[in-house]
Amino acid sequence: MNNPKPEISVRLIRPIDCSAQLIDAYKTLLLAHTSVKDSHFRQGLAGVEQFVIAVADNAKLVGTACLKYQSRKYQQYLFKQAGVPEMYNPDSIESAWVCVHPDFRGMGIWNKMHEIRSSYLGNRPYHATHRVENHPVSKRTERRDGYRQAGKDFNSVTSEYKLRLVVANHDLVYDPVKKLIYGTLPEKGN
Amino acid sequence: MSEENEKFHASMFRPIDCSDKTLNAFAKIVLANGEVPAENLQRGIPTAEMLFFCSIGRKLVGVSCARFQNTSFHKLLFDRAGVPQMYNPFSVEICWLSVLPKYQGKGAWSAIYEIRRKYLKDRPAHGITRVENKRVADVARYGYQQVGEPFKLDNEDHFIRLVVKDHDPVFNPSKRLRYC
Repeated sequence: MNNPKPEISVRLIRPIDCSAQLIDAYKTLLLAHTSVKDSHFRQGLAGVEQFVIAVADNAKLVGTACLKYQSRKYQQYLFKQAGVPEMYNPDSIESAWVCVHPDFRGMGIWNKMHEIRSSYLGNRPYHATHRVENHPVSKRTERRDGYRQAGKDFNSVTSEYKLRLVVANHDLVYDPVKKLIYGTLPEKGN
Repeated sequence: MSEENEKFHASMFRPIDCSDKTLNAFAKIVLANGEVPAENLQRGIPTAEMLFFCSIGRKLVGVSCARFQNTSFHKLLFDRAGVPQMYNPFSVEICWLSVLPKYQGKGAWSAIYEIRRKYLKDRPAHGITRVENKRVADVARYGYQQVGEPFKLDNEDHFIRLVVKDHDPVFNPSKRLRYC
């Protein structure tokens, strides 16, 4: 008998609202199925604005993502390595730690996580890095997730793989007059 | 040059950009005023949105922080004050404003306020103060207003009041952070 399709719920949660058990489950899933290292995870936690979590049947964590601020130095380094230092934007948040449990892939979890993340961010600038050789991610991020590549593929001191920097809502040259403010999002097309 | 002739210098950093030494120095300034338990700072400081620092020369003399509170506690504050409709999930708490006693009344507070104001712009923010704390009675001077009535939290003896800035009378869910 086929197992019934699990009910997947995706939500945002701030680190301050996470239990230690949830953080632990998040880390376990992420480290088991991605190249993220424990030391990077611990270091990166301090910059997390929102975790994105996908839960199956209200019980099992099956997908992770997050929006986090990187250290300014490292973020600047990435844009410099990609050959576009003028695009470095201190208000840009990194979309990172995207992972879907292998048993739950192909169920639309990535899409749901992307939608909730995009809806939360609105027109805020954000960026991400991924391995060049990770072809499924490369195709997806640039064709369907609204990113575009910034600069050229590059090597980083933090990875043995060639990396690609992708951005969304970034100006070609950082405009220091622009800031994050609070208000209603402009209508599309305005 | 004597300290009297030096100016206060305010700066701000995300926790991710701070060394452990800087985070510890921040905590020491908050603890010096004795109102915040150390365990609250241990988890709270690294997860803050932005930390504000005030120095004179190389000496750190004052700090403050903008952070998101635990959602349940954040809602509880607005419930207890009698204004649950003003609860805004985008509102950051301004907290741990602390200036070493020797430097109080000399402009450190204003220096921190000014850099925080520039950072927050029109973003909604809130804070709680003890009603009996006369030093922070004049919140209007800093763009804040009291909302609701003073209240007591569980296991607390003193009354606290909730103050806000840039909060709508009723939370508008179509508003959020935007970039422009």
